[in-house]
Amino acid sequence: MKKSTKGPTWKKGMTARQDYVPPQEFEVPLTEEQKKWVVVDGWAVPPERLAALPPDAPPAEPPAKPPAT
Amino acid sequence: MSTGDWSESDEPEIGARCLKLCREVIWNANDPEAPYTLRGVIQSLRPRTGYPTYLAQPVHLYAEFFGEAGERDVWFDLVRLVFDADGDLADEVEETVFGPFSLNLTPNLFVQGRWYVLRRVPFPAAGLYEFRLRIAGVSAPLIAERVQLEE
Repeated sequence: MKKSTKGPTWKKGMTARQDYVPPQEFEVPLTEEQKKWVVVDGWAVPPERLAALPPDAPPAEPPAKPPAT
Repeated sequence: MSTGDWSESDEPEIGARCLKLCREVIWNANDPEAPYTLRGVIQSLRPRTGYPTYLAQPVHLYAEFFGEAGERDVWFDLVRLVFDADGDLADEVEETVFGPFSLNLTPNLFVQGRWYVLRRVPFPAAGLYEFRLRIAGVSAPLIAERVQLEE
């Protein structure tokens, strides 16, 4: 590939029709400390910080479950 | 962001023309001209719960590749950019790595979309973060996407 070609180029015989490729997933492993965190409004929070949250914050959810096997 | 700088010595055989962070990617087999729909393209995030934190909901990264067919390993570095008081880049902190993912490009395709679901993305502090798409054997990222984490 030439350096000047920083985008896709169309060559004879090409197609733009793609087959479905399923997404790949990755889950960041939690530290022992993070396993104790609770989820508020879609974000994980250390329990000791719950008292400092805005009064209108949604209720906390249970700590994150371990990764599915 | 544009495609990363390629040095003569490690010029990749493939490129990426876009990288977008979004809430969800949807595949539509009935629209082969535009089979991917990106819902909720993320420009910034603001956890009302403060820092450190991680996203409990998965986010999706959508990339479009082009170039030579073949199988390669790719991964994403999540890098926090640290600026000094003058606004100059002072440091880059690699927070985590997502992957590696196997990327198998097939021949004779103009571009090839791929998407990646990232769970528990950590953000230790407010600031500017970069998702850098990396490929084995190439020092510079293929492409990067920035997101601002607000106070």
